[in-house]
Amino acid sequence: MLDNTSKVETPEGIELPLEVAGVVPRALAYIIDLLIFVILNYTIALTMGLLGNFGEGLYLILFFILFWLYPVIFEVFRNGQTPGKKALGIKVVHQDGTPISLNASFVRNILLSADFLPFFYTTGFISMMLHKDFKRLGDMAAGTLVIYTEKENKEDPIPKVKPKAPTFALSLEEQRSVLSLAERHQQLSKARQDELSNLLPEKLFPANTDNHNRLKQLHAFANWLRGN
Amino acid sequence: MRQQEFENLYQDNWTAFTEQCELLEKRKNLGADIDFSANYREVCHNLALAQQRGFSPGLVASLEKLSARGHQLLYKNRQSLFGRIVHFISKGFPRLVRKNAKLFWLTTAVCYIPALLVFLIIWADPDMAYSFLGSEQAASLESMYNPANDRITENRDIDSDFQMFGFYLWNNITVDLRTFAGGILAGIGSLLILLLNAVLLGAASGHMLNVGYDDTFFTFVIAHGAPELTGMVISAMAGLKIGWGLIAPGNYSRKDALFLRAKDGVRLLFGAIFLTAIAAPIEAFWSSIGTFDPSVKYTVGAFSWALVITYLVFAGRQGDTDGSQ
Repeated sequence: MLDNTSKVETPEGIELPLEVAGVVPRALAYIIDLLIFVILNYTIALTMGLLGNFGEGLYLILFFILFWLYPVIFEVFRNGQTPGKKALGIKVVHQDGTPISLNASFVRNILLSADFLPFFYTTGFISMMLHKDFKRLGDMAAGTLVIYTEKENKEDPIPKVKPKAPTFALSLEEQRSVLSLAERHQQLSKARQDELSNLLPEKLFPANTDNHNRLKQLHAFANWLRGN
Repeated sequence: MRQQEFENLYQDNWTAFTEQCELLEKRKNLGADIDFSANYREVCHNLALAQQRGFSPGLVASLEKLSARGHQLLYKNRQSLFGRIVHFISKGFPRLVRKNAKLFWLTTAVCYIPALLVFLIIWADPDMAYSFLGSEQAASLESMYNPANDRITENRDIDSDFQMFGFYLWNNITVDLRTFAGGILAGIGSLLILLLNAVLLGAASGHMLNVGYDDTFFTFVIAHGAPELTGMVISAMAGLKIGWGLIAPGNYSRKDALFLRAKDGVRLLFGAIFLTAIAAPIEAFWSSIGTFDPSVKYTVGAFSWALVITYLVFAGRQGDTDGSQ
């Protein structure tokens, strides 16, 4: 399948799918973080400006922390999310799906300055476009992935109709298709459901079944497969 | 077993596991009788079954989500950050430097040999100073370290000291970080930044000696130079570590080599930042004091070098062997 899922095998022998985020949401998240940085920086500069030389020293220390550690602090202590990433519904994790560590967050954010080269994140952009998991150099060195946070599952209860066994044994993939279509009957338009049901094996339905009856039959099969 | 039966059988477990995840995510403790990892393995097992038997994608997705949640909670690092930092500074970092001794000496040579060469060239031919430093920088150094300068003989007020402290901290650590980041360009960035600073050091020393400001210059730099220069060398070393992973990845792909070397690389960088951060207050609050006799400053300077060397050579030789964090 051609999609943006990166599979991670866990020690328990299962595969967890991680939905990798691409250039656009990451760039937008970065712009939000940049705006927050500029505003914070301006506020601190104004406040410290009132304190003379001492304030200037303090400002440089705070600026240092803000400039280099802002993303690190958020990623490590706020579940892999800077405010920008949170707004876009993405987060950083290790490539094995575990929460990001201080070291990894530090590496990827320090190397942001290498991804910036030669101007405005050209290196990072090219690297992301070439990598199947959209990694910039910092992500490769740190072994991190930027993924979408889990969304709420949207599944509708399968419409209750009298279960009916198909006339032949369905393959696993066919079973999944039938169930998946039945589960999404409220999210898909009627026409789209008809179209999708036409992709199922022809012999599943009695000859000359019209579209409406096809869906009814489909729901009956789905009920049977679930064991309702 | 059909899906409906399967769901009826395990639904209670899943609900209970979700509640346990919620508690852990809020950093609360579970009861002593709850075995989170066993519950997690059971959910994983359920997921594998659901996938294998072709149960509905909705069910599989919700189990995937639940397992991912458990995975994040089970495999997160639970050591305290403070304990890890103390362990790293007292043992892990010097061990890591010794483990990479070859790279350390190579980087040290790349720093001090060019610095010495430039120093000797300028010593032999004073006019060369202007080729290395440029006339503006030479003039600014001369005014900074002129013994007749007020700043040298009188103490600055504490406010300006603090201002300089902030500046040194920001500036020097940023140099460390950039030096490390430059390593990803096959090490070239790190080498360039290190060489640039080495040449500057050699040129400034040579020029100050020629114009006769050597006492003010060397008394200023000697004490904080020990941690600062060592920090600079080690940050370049950290950059070269990852750069070398790209040039000679060995049995790994370049991507994997980069990832593996970066693990030690970033720990070297943390150590370099530690040394640089120590140097900043020494530079701001001790080096700037001009009223001490030069002999006092040189003694303290020698002591500072001895301390840094002793730390890197001896710290962490005894005790637990785990230098991982």
